[in-house]
Amino acid sequence: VPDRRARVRAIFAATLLLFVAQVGFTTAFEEPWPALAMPAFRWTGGAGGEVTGQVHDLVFGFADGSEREVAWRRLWPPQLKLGDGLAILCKPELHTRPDGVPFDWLPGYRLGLARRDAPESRAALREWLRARARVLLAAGEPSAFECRAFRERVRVRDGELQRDRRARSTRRVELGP
Amino acid sequence: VSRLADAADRWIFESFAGDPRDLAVFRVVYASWMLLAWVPRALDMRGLPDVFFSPPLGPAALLGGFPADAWLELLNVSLVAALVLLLFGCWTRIASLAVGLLVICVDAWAYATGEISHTILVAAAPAVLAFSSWGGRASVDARLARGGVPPGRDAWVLALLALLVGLAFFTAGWVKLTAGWLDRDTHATWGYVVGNLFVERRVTWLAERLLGLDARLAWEPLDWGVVAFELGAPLAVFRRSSFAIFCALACLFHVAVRLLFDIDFEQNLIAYAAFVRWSELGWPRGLRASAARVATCLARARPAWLVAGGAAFGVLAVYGLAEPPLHRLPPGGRVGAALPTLVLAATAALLYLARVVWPPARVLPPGSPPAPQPVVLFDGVCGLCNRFVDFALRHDRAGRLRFAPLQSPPGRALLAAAGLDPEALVSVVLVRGGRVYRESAAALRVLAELGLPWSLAAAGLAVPAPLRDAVYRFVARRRYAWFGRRDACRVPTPAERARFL
Repeated sequence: VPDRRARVRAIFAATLLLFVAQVGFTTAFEEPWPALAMPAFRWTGGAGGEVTGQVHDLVFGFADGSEREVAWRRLWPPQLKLGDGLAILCKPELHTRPDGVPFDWLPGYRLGLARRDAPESRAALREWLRARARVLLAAGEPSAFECRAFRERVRVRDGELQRDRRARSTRRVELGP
Repeated sequence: VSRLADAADRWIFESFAGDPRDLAVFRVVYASWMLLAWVPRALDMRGLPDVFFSPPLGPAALLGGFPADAWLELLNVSLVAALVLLLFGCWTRIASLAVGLLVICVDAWAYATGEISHTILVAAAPAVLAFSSWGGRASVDARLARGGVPPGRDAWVLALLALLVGLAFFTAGWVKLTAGWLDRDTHATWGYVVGNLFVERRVTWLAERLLGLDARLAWEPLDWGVVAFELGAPLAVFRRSSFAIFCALACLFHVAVRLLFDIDFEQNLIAYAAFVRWSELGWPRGLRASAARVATCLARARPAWLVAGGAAFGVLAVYGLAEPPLHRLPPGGRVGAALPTLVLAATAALLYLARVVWPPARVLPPGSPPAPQPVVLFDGVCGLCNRFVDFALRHDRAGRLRFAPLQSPPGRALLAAAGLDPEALVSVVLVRGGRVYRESAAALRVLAELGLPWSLAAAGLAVPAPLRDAVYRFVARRRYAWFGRRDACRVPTPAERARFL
């Protein structure tokens, strides 16, 4: 049926055009959702047999000076993938979206950022951290939470693994009353 | 341009044509898998403070923060209800589109903390197949004769889905190519393994054991292999057979990624299942009877019950289970959910690839001309084929083999019985024990009948069939030029007559 065939051809042509447009958008700005493009894994570490990356120690502190570390995969619920969330928690000021064409065209895109560092969001974060500590530690109410960021270098030399880390920054969230 | 347009039309409208039962089976498989291993989803977002709200560009970024918990729960209940309707094939097109849209909406919240997990193919599959005949069998729609797409007119739908899969893979490969994965000074795969293990702290059994391998020798080929595989995906979409092989390799690829990196791309496997020829899998008779009974039961359901039951199941899944049923399997969590998928995918992929590499012989249908002894069908005018027959006659001391030119009436009858074209004289054929072997398999198996030392040639059957058949065809196409052609078909001498049909 010629009409039906023409419609189907148009669907294929539109798919290809939308795909090209989406790849262009992703390249120019950032990866949207939903999107067919999968521009992940662009990192090419491993040169010279070593890898350098940022690692985080997440630590709850208590009034008596003791500390308890929590793996970030336990702090966040298991279904979530919060690599970025971890970075937001430790360095929120680095994760404010820059101005740019999509943000200028659609000011609504800034809405989600406006509340990230607002006082009510900070208060909600403190309450959430207290609740997670209660679930994970069962060791009384923590007085503070610290996200300690390190630059870690991992190398393999002669079959031996070598690691060294340097402190980068620490973000402290007071959890006391 | 005209030839190109014709080729494009053949690809779009013909290349993915198949048995309409396959799509119906896939509909049931897709909906069942989603209900068992996918929903409810992203419920862990409930209670997260807005400081974590970092949605990617898209509809979710227009909101000011995480939605009220009730919205996420409502989306999940709706998704479960739509999946139940899809499972039973009730209002299939609407249910399919709803599933695609709801998967995207739910995942908009799953990714609202900043990390996208590329599950678009899970949503694309039902959205595209909404325009196919996948609701046309074993469904309420079929029982109520609700129209739908006639079978045979929807090959383009699978071609479109294949195109989407190919393009998605291409973008993944293109990023790696432009980022420098092929640079010999970088070892991206090794870097990701180390980064996952020590920086992201994703400990996997396989990564711990492979880490110490020499980076250049062991890991660089992996970088190249991954980029080539992903960039080559669009080339595979032009033929259903090549795309099926690509999907089988993709299954193994996802399994390896999970075992090495603990990254759950195997969620996309369900989209590849659309290209499985379910009706050709050789199900045991008992299983086929059970499947037919299930199909009848699915079709008997009442639409009103399905809507109510789907919503009730959705409420149970969200408020009672809170996680997909398969996630409860040991060892629990994402790993528990992945294990059955990984095992099934790896098994299916390996079996499929084995079937391609060593394809089973064609079986003669019941009622075919009897052939109690092995029969060799050959091109009677071909110089090479006649020399091969002379050789076989000389060395078949037990006199087991029988011969017939492909052009002779007995030869044509056997070819027709085997479902082969009697006019296509391109291959030697061996009929033995009710099975039909062609090309290199036939030649090697004829040699195997001759006794030592010629039977040692049967070891060549271990070589993948596509490789040895390529060599066979290369020679076969040039056989007249290289070895001559007779003016008339071979007539057996009186001494040979007993060996010819």
